[in-house]
Amino acid sequence: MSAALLIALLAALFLLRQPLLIILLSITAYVHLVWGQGDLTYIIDDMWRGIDKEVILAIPLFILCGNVMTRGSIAERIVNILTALTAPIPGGLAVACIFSCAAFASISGSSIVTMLAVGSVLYPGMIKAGYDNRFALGAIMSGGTLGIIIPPSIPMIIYAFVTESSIPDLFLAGVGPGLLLTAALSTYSWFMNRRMPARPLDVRELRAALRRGIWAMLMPVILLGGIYTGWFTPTESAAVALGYSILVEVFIHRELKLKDFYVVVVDASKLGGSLFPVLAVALSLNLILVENRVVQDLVRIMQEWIASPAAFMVLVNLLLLVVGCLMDINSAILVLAPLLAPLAAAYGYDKIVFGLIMILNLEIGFLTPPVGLNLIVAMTAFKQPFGLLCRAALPFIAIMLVCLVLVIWQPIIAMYLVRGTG
Amino acid sequence: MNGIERARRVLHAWHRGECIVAVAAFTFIAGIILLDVLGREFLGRLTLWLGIDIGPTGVFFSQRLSVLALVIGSYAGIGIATATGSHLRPRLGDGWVPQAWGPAMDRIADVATGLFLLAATWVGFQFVGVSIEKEERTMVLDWLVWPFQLFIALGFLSAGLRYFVFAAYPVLRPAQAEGQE
Repeated sequence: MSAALLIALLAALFLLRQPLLIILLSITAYVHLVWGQGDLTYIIDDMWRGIDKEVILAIPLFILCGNVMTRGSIAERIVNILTALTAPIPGGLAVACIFSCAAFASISGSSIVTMLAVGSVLYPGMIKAGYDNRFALGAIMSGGTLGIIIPPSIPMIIYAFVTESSIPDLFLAGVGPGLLLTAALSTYSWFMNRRMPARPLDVRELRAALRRGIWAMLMPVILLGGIYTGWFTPTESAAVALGYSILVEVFIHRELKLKDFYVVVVDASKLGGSLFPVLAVALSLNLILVENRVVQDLVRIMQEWIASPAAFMVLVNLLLLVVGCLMDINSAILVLAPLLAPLAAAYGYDKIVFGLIMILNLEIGFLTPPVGLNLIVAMTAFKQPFGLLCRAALPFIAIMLVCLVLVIWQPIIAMYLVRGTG
Repeated sequence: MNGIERARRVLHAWHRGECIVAVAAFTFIAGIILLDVLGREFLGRLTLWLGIDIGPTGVFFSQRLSVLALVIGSYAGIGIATATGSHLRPRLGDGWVPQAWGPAMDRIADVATGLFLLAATWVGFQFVGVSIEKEERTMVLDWLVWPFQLFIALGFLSAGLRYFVFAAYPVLRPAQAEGQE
């Protein structure tokens, strides 16, 4: 009866178009009132304790860093280097698009930021060079999703936070699948455009691009090198990357004025204001679920019904692909990761590998309607009809699904570097 | 000046105030952590290399202070996210009613969200009251925590009141942001 009421409450909240914050607050309050001690101040207490952890600081710093880079010219300079390098390949601009997204992903933790930063430079360039519009859109939208697979990645930090996993391990685990996706997407891009004209490598152009872009290319070295040499924690690394990007954009590239920083921070506050309170409530809900042994019961029930880890993995992947179509990635991780990660562990899956599988699934959700964020943002940014964007994404989704299956089949793709450093 | 214009001005000033608080908080976080790292990893090593021992060169408790600033910035951010239509919202139920009902549903949704947030504000103030009674203090810094916890309740209050204004004057309601991640 109580569970049926909870489902009815959930349906009413969806119908009433409530924000995720309210939905989670209401569910948490319901659980406290029905199954807990009925004292709702515990919710705020748990929210306070949940957010009172230093590791969370990496999130606003990476968001700020991404915003600074989007307003500056770091992306354009990276694109110029990779365009010069891939010019001798037929369809080089298409390959450069995927490589540029991968390179930008190694300094940005967000899919939309990566898509917009690279797409705003390369989409007009590809159209001008005679590339098929549908292909160009698909390449930019799918390339953008590399932003959350190749470290740093904001969804990975959130996953680490709610499942108490290691951020550096998750970042390392993202490298293999990120490279696999980059290789698969760029090979497809080359194959589809193999009849496009190529031109010899222009060493002078490449040298000029390298000279202009050297400061941008140093960014991933500082950011990821700092973490893996043990100099910085992920939070400190994000702060250093932010300081470096401001320094480069304001004083070297001269693309950003210090007063622009106000707009950058307000933009970050919007995301912070929508994310951190939800994160805090999700943590509060997780605590009450753990306290009431809901997760353990869920594991027991699942194991009674599904004995095979492979069957569990197929079901979870189907669930995540559907959820990816309906929810944004951060909401999905906040709600599902604390429930699914212990389940996956009970079936013998490593928490880090499972995190990667989860993010790879939800990454595909960026390209699927109705709430595929890359589709929605691309519709406005590139002024293209939604139907065309959906069709443009289809072949790339198929490639991403193949890569997902490969990572599930051979988890070493994700874990090779983690085990190597462990 | 009519009611809508007055409400618009109030909301604008209110939004500006929250932006200033959030910008100050996030700038503080970025600045103090950067200073800590630069001091510890660069200045400290440089002075040691020069043979001068000036003791610890990082900023004490920088991350603790940053977490407190994050609480302030985040809960000021609830208001900013409300003002700019940036809250994460599952759109699962949007198709359950005819499209023509959209504006009316939005108005009902705003009232409902406002009520939920006012309830959360009430619980938040109760929580702060308990914290004041118990004289709870932060880890490491040993400061009283209730002034920081107060921002949670104030964040809910600010967002809740704003939703009521949107329900009263739908023209002031921001368009839902395309999506954030």
